[in-house]
Amino acid sequence: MKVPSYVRAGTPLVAFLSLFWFPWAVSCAFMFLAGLVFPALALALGVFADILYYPGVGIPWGSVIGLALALASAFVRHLVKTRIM
Amino acid sequence: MNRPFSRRPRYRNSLLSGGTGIAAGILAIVIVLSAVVRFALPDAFATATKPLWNAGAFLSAHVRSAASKESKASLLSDRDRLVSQNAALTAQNAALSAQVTDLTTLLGSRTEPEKGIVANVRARPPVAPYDVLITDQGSAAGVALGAEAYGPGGTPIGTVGQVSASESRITLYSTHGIQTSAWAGAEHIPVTLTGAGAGAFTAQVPKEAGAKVGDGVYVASADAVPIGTVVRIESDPSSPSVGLDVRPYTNPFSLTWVTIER
Repeated sequence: MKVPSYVRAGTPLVAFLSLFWFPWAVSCAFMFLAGLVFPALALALGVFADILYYPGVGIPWGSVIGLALALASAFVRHLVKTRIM
Repeated sequence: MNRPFSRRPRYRNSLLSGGTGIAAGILAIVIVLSAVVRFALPDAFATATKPLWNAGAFLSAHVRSAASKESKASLLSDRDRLVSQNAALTAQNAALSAQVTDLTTLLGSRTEPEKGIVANVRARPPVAPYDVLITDQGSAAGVALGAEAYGPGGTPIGTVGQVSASESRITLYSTHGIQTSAWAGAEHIPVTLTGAGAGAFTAQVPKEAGAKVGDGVYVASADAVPIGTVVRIESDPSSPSVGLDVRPYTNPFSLTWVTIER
């Protein structure tokens, strides 16, 4: 399946803006989609969410979720590339 | 036909292709730069992010008004209800004004303490994944690290955890794991509230303390400011204590402004 280039370029941008505009659960969905374009993007966006909001106490969930989404999206990309999905 | 020998490196079996490696490198640099700017130059970071948060607030306000599809009949009934409510409040206000005048005559007037700093909330949960509020007032306006923040009605909501010249970050009492001393009920049962995220708290009290659903919860201080109410009690027959679920009076999801003490 060929993904149009504007979708590939637009998804990370929307994921970035969603960190400012949308509830974090929606941002996670966009981070996962961005991770399908390039897995490290999900991790980067998660770290950026912590840079924006981390209060300095507790677990930095943004980075943890970003890492999990990066791994999940890399796995999905692997399945798609090998045409299992 | 044999293909000509190519000197170009082949990345087919490498872990990262050339383009992927470059993109990952750029991403890493952007993230490190963001972190450096955020912590070393917090004002520059606040200036850069402010338009994005403002755009979000603008969009949500306009999308909300566009999505409102109330019928004419319900709007009219709301209007009638509000008109009668307004009349009742006007009468009550007149009575209270007269009472204030009487009390001032009896007791004399005095200078009230200076109010705190009113700050507009730029970002709040659930956009922020933590119980944190980002406000538009910083040390330039007199906000100090550790200052108490209050919601509408004077309900304590948290303390200033980070501050720059033009921005401050309020860590809410309901942040996961943060503990606050409080009292529950009319008997002022001492409890330690533990932040449960999303504005909520939990607490443990002995069974014989007699906590009830609906009991008010107050911050343990000289003026016992109310912070929330007990909405559920979880009891385990094998445990000598019960768990309280406390709902705050101030919903952090809908806070648009806060007052920060000077």
